[in-house]
Amino acid sequence: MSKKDINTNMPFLSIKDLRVEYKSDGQIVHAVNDVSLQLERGKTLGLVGETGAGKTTIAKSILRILPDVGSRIVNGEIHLDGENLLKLPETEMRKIRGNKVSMIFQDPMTALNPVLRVGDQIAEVVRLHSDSNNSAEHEKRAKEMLEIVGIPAERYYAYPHQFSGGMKQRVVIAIALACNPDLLLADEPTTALDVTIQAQVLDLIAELRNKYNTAMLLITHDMGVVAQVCDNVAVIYAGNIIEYGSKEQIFRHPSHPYTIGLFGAIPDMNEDEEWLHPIEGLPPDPTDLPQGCSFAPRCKFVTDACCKESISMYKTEDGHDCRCCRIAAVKKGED
Amino acid sequence: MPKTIEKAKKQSEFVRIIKQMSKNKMAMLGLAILSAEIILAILSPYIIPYDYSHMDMVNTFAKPSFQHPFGCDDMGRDIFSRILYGARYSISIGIIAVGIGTFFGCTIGATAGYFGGQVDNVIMRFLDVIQAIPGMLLMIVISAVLGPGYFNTIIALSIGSISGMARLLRAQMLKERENEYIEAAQSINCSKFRIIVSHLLPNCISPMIVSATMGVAQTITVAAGLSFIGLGVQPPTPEWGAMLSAARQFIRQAPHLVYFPGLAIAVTVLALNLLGDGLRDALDPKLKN
Amino acid sequence: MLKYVGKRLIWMIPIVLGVAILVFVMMTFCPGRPEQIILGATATEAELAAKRLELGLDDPFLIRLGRYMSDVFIHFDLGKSWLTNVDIMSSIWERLPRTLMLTVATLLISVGVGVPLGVIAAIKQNKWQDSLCMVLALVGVAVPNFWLALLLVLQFSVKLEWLPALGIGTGLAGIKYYILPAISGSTGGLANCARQTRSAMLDVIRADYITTARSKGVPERDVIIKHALKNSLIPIITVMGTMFGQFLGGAMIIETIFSIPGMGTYIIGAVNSRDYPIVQGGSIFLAITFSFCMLIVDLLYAMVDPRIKAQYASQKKRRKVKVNA
Repeated sequence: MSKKDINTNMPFLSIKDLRVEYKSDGQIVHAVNDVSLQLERGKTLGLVGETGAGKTTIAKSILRILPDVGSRIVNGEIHLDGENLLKLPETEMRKIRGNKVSMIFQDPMTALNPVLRVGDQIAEVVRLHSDSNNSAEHEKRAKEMLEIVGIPAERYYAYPHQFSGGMKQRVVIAIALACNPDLLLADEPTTALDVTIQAQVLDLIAELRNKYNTAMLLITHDMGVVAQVCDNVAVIYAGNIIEYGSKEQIFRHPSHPYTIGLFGAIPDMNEDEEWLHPIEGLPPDPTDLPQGCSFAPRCKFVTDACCKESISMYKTEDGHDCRCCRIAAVKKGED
Repeated sequence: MPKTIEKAKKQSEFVRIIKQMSKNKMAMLGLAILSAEIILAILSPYIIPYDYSHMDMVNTFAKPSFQHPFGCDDMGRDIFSRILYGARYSISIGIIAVGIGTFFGCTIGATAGYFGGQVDNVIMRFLDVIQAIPGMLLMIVISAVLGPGYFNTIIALSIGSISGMARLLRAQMLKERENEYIEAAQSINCSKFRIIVSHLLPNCISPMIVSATMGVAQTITVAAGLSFIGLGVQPPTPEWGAMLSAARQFIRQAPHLVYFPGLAIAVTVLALNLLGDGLRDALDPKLKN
Repeated sequence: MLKYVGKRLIWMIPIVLGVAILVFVMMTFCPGRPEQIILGATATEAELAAKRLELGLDDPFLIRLGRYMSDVFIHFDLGKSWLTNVDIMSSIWERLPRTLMLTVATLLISVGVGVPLGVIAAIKQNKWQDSLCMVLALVGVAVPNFWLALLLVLQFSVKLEWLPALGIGTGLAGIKYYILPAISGSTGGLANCARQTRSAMLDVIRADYITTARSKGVPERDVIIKHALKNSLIPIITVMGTMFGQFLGGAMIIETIFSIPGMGTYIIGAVNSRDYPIVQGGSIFLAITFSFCMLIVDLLYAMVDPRIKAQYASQKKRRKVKVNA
């Protein structure tokens, strides 16, 4: 990884062995299992995976806003700028939320409070993280943010129900960026939007990110979005990263059978294919994960070794890791 | 073949509800209390230790004791026996009145929902008028017209519960009508009547059952209230509200006369509410928190 | 908004007329002959006939109805009591404030205690605080208010002699006469309020915008009060109108127990003494009061929920909003 950040040896964001569980109806849901990842300032990491793979849980763990009923960070460290977020007291954590780290949510239709003016919802985050008590200043900043995301400032006084989905998402982005965060967690920011609006919103996010040198964790299940925005990609399956590398590496040489399957599920425009190639089977039950590789039950190349013990990450090329024992075997064969 | 599938599905739904209910301890407690009360009420003439109207001047205002568990009233009548016997009045008023009210309410509500347009408009405006009169006041006015007594109280209370039931069913039907399965039924050319009877009504029935259960509880309280102010069942009939009304004047000398009839109402209403909550959770998981 | 209020007021007219007609029709079926009730059992046949003529009781039904309606809605005259010959309208003006005072006090207690209880129960979901609140709510719904009133009188008036058991007082000292009545009338509504608040809060707390608020760094207390509670209030306000009606009805029984000379004692007394013009006039008046309160509740609703407010806005404005969106 690049050594751009010279202030500290640690990368800007570093998650180590994060493990999160939910309790639901007496069963333990293993949502995130020993995830480790790193992110540098100004870079964008794409978290790719199916619904329920634990992507959102990772993001919410960083902000520590997991729903408190039954969810628990069992293990792990999340270092931001050298500080372990999981050890911070709640009051300190509050200063980070919305300020240093902020989040864009998946569904703009429900992410805004319906009984508060949109402008006030932006001004609130400004007020919470500003030293001054001057509400006129906060309002000014909120109006500025509205303009930045492409909404006329006079819509400050409107309520969310008067906005379309795309405009609401712009407001959500305005809230997230109002305090110039160092890290932006974007949880499927375009999934709920029309295709035409998707591109606009993605452009907006990318533009603002470049302008403020914000690091971004982009959660998505859409490879197209990844290609458009990300520097690096982590593929998540059943709460674990199974492949990690730069965008180019992942797109050119997908190594894990699951990643290969993901690309197979995208129709190729250049070839005349009659069928898509879906990945057979379903993701494993998170309350009862298989031993060994969690993808083994769906894998075409499954061997006995896959089902025995947990698989570690193997290096396929510089900066490109893959959690598959086949890689190890192949590597050994090469040596 | 399709018939057996349908049967199996229906049965499993019924079984599911029963299973769901039996897991709910509070609802089972409510059901147990209620069944016990109803059985005791039915058997009361044979099991009460004293005749409910037997006067015994020696025991006037007797405090609760081994012979008279709840004590005796101003005429020396055994309160325990009177409360057990009175359950026949209080509980039956609630159940019968809500039964009648639900029947007419559903008919009116379904008529409004089925015909729509002008019929719906007329019915709803009439219900608007009735609902502009606070419930208790309406009961008082109706009992003023009908006069007091057991049957008149039932009639008054059933008239009172019609409009609520009708509105509920109509609202439920209008809400269900928006669902896509109705459009699906229309698209396969189902008749309007068939859509209502076999698609709409079954989906509207759950809230009606819950509302009726809660309604019995409320009606028992209102009936007791009417008797309490002298417009419902009259003393010396051992209806609980009437007993409270009679006990009121002796509140200084014999407070135990006040305790037990009220407790009987509270326990019955509590049991019905527990049962209603359980039914709601079992019938409509969406409503459960 | 003003236009909406005006529209609602105009809507009230047919409802109130309907209530008046309904009540009038019902009262004609009341047992007993009016002239007999007025003149008593000792009156002679001739006197009775004269009274019938005077009251116009032999006129056709529609004429009698029309006469009553014009008396009520044009001359604002509800007639006189058959037994005491006192003007009913002036009696109502004297008594209505007491009933309203009791009803409003009941409502304030219910909402003021019920909503916080519901909030506590929701944020402490499945902990002991939640269980305690919900048990209290179950008991609150089950206990009949007239029974509770008797128990409170027994404890606080008879035994402890802290509060008066009956009557009314004047000025500030008069408040203490309303304490027991208002408390005993409020339990059912209070419990209902707590349950509604709890379930509304539980719905709202899981909403995405609450997560948004948390992700902004809003302190937990503000998340609950500023973001969650305001949204939870919407379903509570919708039931407040119904609650007001229940309290108004409940107040009638409570008044009888505490001998408060309000509308309840007036109407119930009249039913018992067959003074039907009072029942008739009183009912119409209470129905009008109730309708006004429903209107106020509706306006409150619009104040809390901007989406409803937008619906109330005039047609033109609504179109403009749509275009902007």
